[in-house]
Amino acid sequence: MSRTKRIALCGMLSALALALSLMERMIPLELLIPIPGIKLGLANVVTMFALLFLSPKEAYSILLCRVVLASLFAGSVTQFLFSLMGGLLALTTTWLLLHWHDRWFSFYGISAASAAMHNFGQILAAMLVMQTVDVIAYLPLLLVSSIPMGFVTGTILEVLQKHMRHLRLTSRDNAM
Amino acid sequence: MRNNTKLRLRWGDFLIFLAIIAAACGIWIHLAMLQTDQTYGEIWLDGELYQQFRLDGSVHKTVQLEGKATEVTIEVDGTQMRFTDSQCTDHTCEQTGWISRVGQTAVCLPNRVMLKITGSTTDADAVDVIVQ
Repeated sequence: MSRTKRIALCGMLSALALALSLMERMIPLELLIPIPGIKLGLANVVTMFALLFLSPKEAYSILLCRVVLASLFAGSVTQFLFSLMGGLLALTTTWLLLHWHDRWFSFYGISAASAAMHNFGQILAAMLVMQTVDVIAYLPLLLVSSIPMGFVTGTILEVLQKHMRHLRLTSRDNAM
Repeated sequence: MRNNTKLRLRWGDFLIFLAIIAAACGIWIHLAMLQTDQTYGEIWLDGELYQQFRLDGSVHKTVQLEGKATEVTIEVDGTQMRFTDSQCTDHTCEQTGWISRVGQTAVCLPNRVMLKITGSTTDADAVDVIVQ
């Protein structure tokens, strides 16, 4: 894939991630499952996709773009720190676990671990902001919720990967 | 398409699920062990204790305070407390609902306001005075 095409693809993925994370805020998931701070984590699918079909470097760039833009569009400095901590931890976890994908882990497990680390990162950010460890009380329910959320994003990834192979968007980088 | 996407879990996946559940249980059990008969409600503003009161059923009031970003309203109802109203963009704090057990917290991040329940054993050395 040419350099230009890669850059264009990164731009598109960043836009998609941004749109998803903004859209996600409109879904009142907290009304269905009353856990404060619960999210589907759809934007995470995009960065995981970038990890699979592009490179870690590009995945991190897309994540950074998304987090910066999302907090500019509809957020605050606090939210930026939140998303950044969560996103970085989640992406790094995904990246590490993908090395053993198909052998030890499936997308479901990787997504669940990623979601759990995302929540952990957010609580970590909250601890920094509030300067206390007490906010850890939020963590147990969020952690448990990351398993079903992992199944949601894992299913999306599984479907995506199957179809992307036929599309041959990234002919050479499929080796993952 | 549905047939193609059946669950193909690996053994590592179960390890991940187990680890997540174990971590959640660990924190939960730790918090559960903090329970005491006497509980205190605390309002923290930007890392500092703003108000503390005994949650023995006697205190019924609403507290209004100016947070970092906007005004927040907190309701204390005997043995429990909650955020009732915050003018901030995310209303996560209101969705947390009532808190009453030791270790529970409700946080309004944009305003740096935290509600916290403490027990008598957790801060045995602390001054046992109720600031109203």
